[in-house]
Amino acid sequence: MSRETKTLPAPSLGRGGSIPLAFWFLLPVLIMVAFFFLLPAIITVLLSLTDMNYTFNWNFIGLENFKEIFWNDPIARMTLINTVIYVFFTLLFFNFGLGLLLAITTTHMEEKAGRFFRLIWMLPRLTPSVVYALLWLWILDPTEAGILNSILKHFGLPTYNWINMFPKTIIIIANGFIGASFGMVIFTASILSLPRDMIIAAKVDGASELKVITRIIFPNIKWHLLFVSAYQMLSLLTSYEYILLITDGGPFYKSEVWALYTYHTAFGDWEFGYAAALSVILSIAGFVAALLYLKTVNIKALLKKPKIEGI
Amino acid sequence: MARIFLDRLTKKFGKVIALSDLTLEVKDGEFIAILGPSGSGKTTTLYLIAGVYKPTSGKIYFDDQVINDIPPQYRNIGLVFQSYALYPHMTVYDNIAFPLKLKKLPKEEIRKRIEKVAKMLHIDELFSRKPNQISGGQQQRVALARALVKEPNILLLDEPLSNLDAKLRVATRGEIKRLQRELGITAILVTHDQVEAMTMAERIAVIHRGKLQQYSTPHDLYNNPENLFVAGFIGNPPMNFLRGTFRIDSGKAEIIINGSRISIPLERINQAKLEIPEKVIMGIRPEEIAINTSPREGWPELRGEIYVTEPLGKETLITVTINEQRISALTPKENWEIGERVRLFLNPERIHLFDPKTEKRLV
Amino acid sequence: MNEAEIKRIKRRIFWWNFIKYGFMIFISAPIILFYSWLFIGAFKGKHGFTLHNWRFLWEKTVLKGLPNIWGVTLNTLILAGGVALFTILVATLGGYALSRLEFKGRGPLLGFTLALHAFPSITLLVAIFYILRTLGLLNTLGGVILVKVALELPFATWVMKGFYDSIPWDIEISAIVDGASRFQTWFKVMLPLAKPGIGALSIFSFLSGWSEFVFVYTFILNEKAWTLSTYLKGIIGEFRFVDYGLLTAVSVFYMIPTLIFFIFAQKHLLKITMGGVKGA
Repeated sequence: MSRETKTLPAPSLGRGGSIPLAFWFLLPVLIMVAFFFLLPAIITVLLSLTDMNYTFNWNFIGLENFKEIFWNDPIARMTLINTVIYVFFTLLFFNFGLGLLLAITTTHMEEKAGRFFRLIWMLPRLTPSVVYALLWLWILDPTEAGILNSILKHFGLPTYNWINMFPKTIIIIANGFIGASFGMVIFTASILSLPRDMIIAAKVDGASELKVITRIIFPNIKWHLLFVSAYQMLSLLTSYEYILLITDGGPFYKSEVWALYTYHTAFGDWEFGYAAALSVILSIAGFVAALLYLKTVNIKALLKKPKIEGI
Repeated sequence: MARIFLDRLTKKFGKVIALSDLTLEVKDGEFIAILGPSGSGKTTTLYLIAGVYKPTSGKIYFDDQVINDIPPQYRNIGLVFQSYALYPHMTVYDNIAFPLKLKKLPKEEIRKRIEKVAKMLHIDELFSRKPNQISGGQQQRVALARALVKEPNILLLDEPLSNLDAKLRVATRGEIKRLQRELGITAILVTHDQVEAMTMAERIAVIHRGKLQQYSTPHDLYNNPENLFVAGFIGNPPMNFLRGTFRIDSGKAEIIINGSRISIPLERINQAKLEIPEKVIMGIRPEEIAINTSPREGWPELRGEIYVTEPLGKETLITVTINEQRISALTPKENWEIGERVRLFLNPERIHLFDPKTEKRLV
Repeated sequence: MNEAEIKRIKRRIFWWNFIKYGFMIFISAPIILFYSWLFIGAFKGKHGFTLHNWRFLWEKTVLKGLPNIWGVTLNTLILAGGVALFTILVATLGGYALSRLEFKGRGPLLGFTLALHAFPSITLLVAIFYILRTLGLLNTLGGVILVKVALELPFATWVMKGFYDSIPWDIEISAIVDGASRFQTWFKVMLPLAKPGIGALSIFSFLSGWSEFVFVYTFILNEKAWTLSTYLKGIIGEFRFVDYGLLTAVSVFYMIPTLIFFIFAQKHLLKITMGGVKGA
């Protein structure tokens, strides 16, 4: 490369013709997205209009599935209520509530201690889901081998079948411990990114720690609070893995949420058409939630125009 | 109002010693400055007094009470930040009202106090604006108002003028000084700008690398600097330092600099508290040197060539080479040629001698 | 301020600290307990310390019909490695385009990527099952890898975009002025500079693939192609109520990469922020 004559190089690679360079860079992503997002989306909609099952026959029945879901399916109704309860309580008390509490408490103590506790709370999320579920199953085991029960037995108390007794509570707590870590990380980052001078100024002005939190910190992390709640709501709406592993929706659908119901219908009963219809309904709910989420994200800041033009 | 006493204050951050063994007292109602280059530990000192940092060792007294463990919110101090640190989500009025609302004062009382302070600082028209809607100078005055409105015992200022443009700086300097005198609050100003410190403070504590160098009035610092650092830091243009050998010969005291002999009045040598070694550093300020005038009685002479001239408006700073060393002098005359040979006359009463090893001033 | 006031203030500080630390210890105790039980259980037998729970490592099979642990582990490695490799390949390319190249529709595409990132997998699972079956990729690790990578891509691309964003424009402009083509700039300058990001992303993708359960459970019906996640689920069914020692031992074995990462990457763990949010 000669450095004597400094002229801008002629545009190469892709500018010849009408295919922009960006296309080649994006091609792999676009192919994957097309194949595993767009194509399935279309197929799901089509499937929802059929009654396909394990025979894999395309048999179009129009909106029958949807009619069935809305008018005739008691499980769907029960699942709907369960989903609302599950999302609401997990979001409020754990993903948002506990996450915020953890962030605030760990940022207002000795730095090393705060970091230690936050690390502990990352552990559930990083654990493979099956292992995490095993832990809960062991704790809640209805026989004497179960941890809770063996403790009770030690005190001469009878054993209980915990999963049968408190299915909803269990799935809320089990998912909550994992969900809290997301909020904790985001809120901690936003609290720590506030200008230090401002916090010191408030303290010098006479604000106790609590006052600093409520009057200074909260108003300045509003955006993050909104973002986490919107995003986590969407996430909870469509979560089912831990529920599948711990209660599997039982007993008798008492802890069955919509996403799990979809899964069971598809891969338990092999009713693909019906499951697709359930998916469509969930997608619409998810879409509405995603719109909410997009609105809270400051799109403009993330869309800074590239500085190199023309190539 | 409060007296402040810092007793052997030390602050370490891990292995880094930010402040070492600082002992300082501030009289009730006094306005002092902590002056030093960046990284010298002056902001650390301020934050220790404010309670933002906890001392590694040493004690801090407010009026004879040790307050080491008291967090900032209980120390009743006002702090004005270099960055102003206004609350972006509140209006100017609410920003100033914040400390009063925390004290749970009645609304009427709050309004009265705010109006009084705002009038003093000329910001009474800005109440409903938000911090991002007012100019830098105005923001600074809001920060000042917020610090003063709670009638603190102590006012701390962290480089309050550094973000203002030059003209505003001069005007604000005088205002702050006047305000402090009127309110009689004990005030500590932290800055790296010696002009700021010299013009505003009654006494200045010069700090370098975490250690206190000298603590006295501006006049004293200028005329009687205790060591090389203070001598070189105070005064603009800075003091000249030349290396030479010291010798007393048949009743005459003189310094030999590159062959030239500079004689010093013996009375001054006899006043030295410490022994003067053979190798010394001579210090003399550019304004104490006369150039190419008729020889003056008792004023030692140095000869050299002009190296560079810097016109400053009302005077010119010329730097002269004398063998391998250089010396600068201030003169009202304007026309000088580079390379021109000149005769420099040094005021014998203004020559200082420093020990190169201990860096302390001897004469 | 006087003596009494100072005493009162100090007392107040003490109680607040008590509440703070007390609360954190109380609320975090379950987690610490859980994992302690996990480890203790793996080594506890009827009469104290034992390695019997770990017999799955040297016995050919723990139960009839169950595959050998080492074959399963190999599968898991293939899955995790494949996911990491593939994700990096695609995301480093796509992220660069989103970060540095100008093209029509860039704005909407960015928004679209962000929206996809929030899109859940469950709603597409049925259709994906059908697609995989049609392509003959059902029951294969390859199929699972593809699906996993595809669904991770929006996040991964966004993360890479973030890392590219943080490289100063000046460096890139100077490469172009020096005569490099856009592609060369990417390959020789930007990619090396984004190494920390690539490192982080590959570890993250690897662990994600290692822990993957649902896709394996759903798309792979043949035990021979099982990974550790489905293997564990399989034996939970059999040994639940009976032999938690074995179960916990397998769990600890399964968690080894996670633990290694946890121990060595502590500082970085706490810096991870999700894509789309400007974090500290």
